[in-house]
Amino acid sequence: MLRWSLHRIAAGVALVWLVATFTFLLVSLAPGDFATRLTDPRIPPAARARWRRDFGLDRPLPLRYASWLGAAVTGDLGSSWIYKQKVVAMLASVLPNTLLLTSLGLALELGGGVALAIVQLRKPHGTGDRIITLATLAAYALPAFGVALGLIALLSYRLHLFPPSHMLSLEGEMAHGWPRLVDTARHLVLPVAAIGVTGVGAVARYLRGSLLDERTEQYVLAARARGCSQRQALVRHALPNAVLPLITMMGMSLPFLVSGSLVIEVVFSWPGMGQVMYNAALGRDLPLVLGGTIVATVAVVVGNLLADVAYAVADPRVRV
Amino acid sequence: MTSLPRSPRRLRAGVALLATLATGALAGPWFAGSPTAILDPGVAGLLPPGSEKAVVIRRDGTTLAGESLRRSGPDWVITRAGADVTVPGTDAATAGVRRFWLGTDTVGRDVLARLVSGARVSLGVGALALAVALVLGVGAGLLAGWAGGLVDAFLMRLVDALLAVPMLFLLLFLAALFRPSLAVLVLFLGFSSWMGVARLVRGQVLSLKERDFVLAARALGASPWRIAFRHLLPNALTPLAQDAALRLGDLILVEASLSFLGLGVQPPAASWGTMVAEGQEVLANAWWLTLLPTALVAATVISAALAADGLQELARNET
Repeated sequence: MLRWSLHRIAAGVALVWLVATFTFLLVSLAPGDFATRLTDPRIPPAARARWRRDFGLDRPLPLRYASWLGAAVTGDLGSSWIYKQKVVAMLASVLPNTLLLTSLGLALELGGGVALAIVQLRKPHGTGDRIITLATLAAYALPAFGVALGLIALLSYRLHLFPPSHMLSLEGEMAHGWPRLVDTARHLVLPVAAIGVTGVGAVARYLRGSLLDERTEQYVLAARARGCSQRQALVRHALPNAVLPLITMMGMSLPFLVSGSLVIEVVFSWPGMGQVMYNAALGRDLPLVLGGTIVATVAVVVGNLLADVAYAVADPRVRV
Repeated sequence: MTSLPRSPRRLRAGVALLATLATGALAGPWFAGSPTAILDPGVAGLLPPGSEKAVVIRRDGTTLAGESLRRSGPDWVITRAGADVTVPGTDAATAGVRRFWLGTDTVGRDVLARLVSGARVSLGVGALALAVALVLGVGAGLLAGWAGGLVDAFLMRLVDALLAVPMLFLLLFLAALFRPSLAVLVLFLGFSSWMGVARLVRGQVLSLKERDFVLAARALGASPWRIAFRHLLPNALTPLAQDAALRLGDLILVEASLSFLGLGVQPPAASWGTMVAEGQEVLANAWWLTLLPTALVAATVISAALAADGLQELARNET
C-alpha cells in the first residue's frame, strides 16, 4: 500500500512537471509573445521592448525556464502579466467559484441521469421510456452554448426569473450573510442548469443501456425470485454494477470540476478558472497560463487516483 | 450467402438525416443566395423568418431594401422607410421582392444562405477531422495490437496520458496561440481525438489475432499489411463505425464550441458556432440567429448518435 502510494505520487509529480514544461515550451515557441499580443500599430517599438525587458522575455529560453522552475518548486508561481497579481492568490480566489458551479452541475447531471434511467426502466420500450429517450438524446446533442443562451433568453430576458450573468449583483456584492447567499444562489441557477442539461443526456443514455443489460442477468433474476420488487432489484442490485464504469467517467471529470465548463463560464461571465484561463491564453500571460495548467493537471492526477480508490471500494474484486 | 438482416431502423434514420444535411450543405449554392451579401441593414437587418422585402441591387454592389417596389418607365421606384427612392434602370443589376425564409442577421445577410454555407464548414471540418482521427487511431491501434511488447506499452501509455487531458481546454489554448487556418484546425481536432479509436482497434486486433483465420493467413505467408486490411479491419468494422459516428458528433460539438468562443473558424468563413456567437449580441430580440444554428448542430449530433445506436444493435446481432 505504501509502495503503491509512493509510486503514484512520484508518477503524479512527474506528470505535472512534464505538462508544465510542455506548456512553457508551447507558449514560448508559438509565434508572437506578450509584447506583440496587442496589434495596434500606434504602440511605439520602445514600449514593446520595455515589456519584453520587464517580463524577462529578452533573456534566452533556457534561462527563463530555469528561473521559472526554480521559483515554482518553492511554490512561487510569479505574478500575472495582465492582472499584475500573484498567480497563486488569483487562482485561489477563482478556484472555489468554479468548484461551486461545476460540482453542483455535475451533481445535477448525475442525479438527473440516474433518476431518468430508473424511471425509463420501469417500463422499457413503453411510452414514457420513448419520450425520455428522445429527450435525453436531444440533451446529449445540444451544444452547451445553445442550452445556456436558450436558458438566458427564456428564463432571464423573457420571464425575468433569474439574472443572466455574473456571480453576484451589485447589491449582493455589498451585502453579507444571508442576502449575499441568496443572491449567489439566484445567479447559480442558470449556469448549473445549463451544465446539468448538457451532461444529463450522456449519463442517462449510458445508464439506461447498461441497466437494460444487467436486468436480465442471473443475479437480478435471483433477487426477483427471492421476492424483491422490480424496483428494488434494479436500484439495490443492478444499479451498483451498472454504475462501475460511471466511476471512471466521473474520475475523468474531476479536471472538468477544476478547469470548469469553459463555455458556460464565458457565456455567464462566471468569475472562475475557465474564464481566467481563457483570458490568460488569449493575452499570452505565461505565468498565469502555467499556474492554471498546473492546477488542472493536479486535478487530473487526483481524479484518476480517486477513481481507482472508489473502484476498489465499489468493487471488492479490485484491490489497489 | 444468406440474406442479410435488415439494418436497424435507427441506423437508417441516422444515415438518412446525415445524408440530407450533407446534401443541403453541398447543394446550397443552387437554392440559397449569397451568404455574404449585405442588404441595406437599416431596412433589411434583423428581419424575422418569413419576411418579405423589396430589394434592389445596384451595379456597384450597394443595395437598397424597402417595403414595396414599382416600375416607373425605365426606372425602379422603391419605397424605403416611407419615402420613394428612384433608381435609374441602368443602375440596377437586379430588382425584385425577396422572401427571407429564415430571416436576416444584424447587417441584413440572408440567414438561410448563411446556415447553408455554415453547414459546409461545420460538416466539412467535422468529417475531415474524423478522417484524420481515424487514420491516426487505426494506424496506432493496429501497430500496438500487432507488435505488442514495448511498442504496445508506449503507445497505450501515450493514449492514457492524452485521454486524461481536458481536450476542449487544450484545443482552445492551441487555437489562442496559433490562430489556426481551417486546415490546421482540422489537424488539431483530428489529433485531439484519435486515442479512443486506437484503443478500440487495439482491443479488436488483440482478440482477433489469435483466431484461426488470422493464423491461417499468416501460415499462408500473407504480409502483415494484407492481414491488417483484409482480415483484421473488416472484422472490426461495425464497432469502428459505431465509434466513428459518435466521434463525428463530438467533433462537430467541439468545433462549434471553439468557433463560438471565437477561436475556431475565422471570418470570413463562418460555421454554425460563429453564427451563434454573432447572434448572442441580439439574443433578446432575434431568437432565430441563435436558435437555428444551435438546432442544426443538435440535429447533426442526433443523427450521428442514432446511426451509432443502430450500429451497436447491429453489432449485438452479429455476435
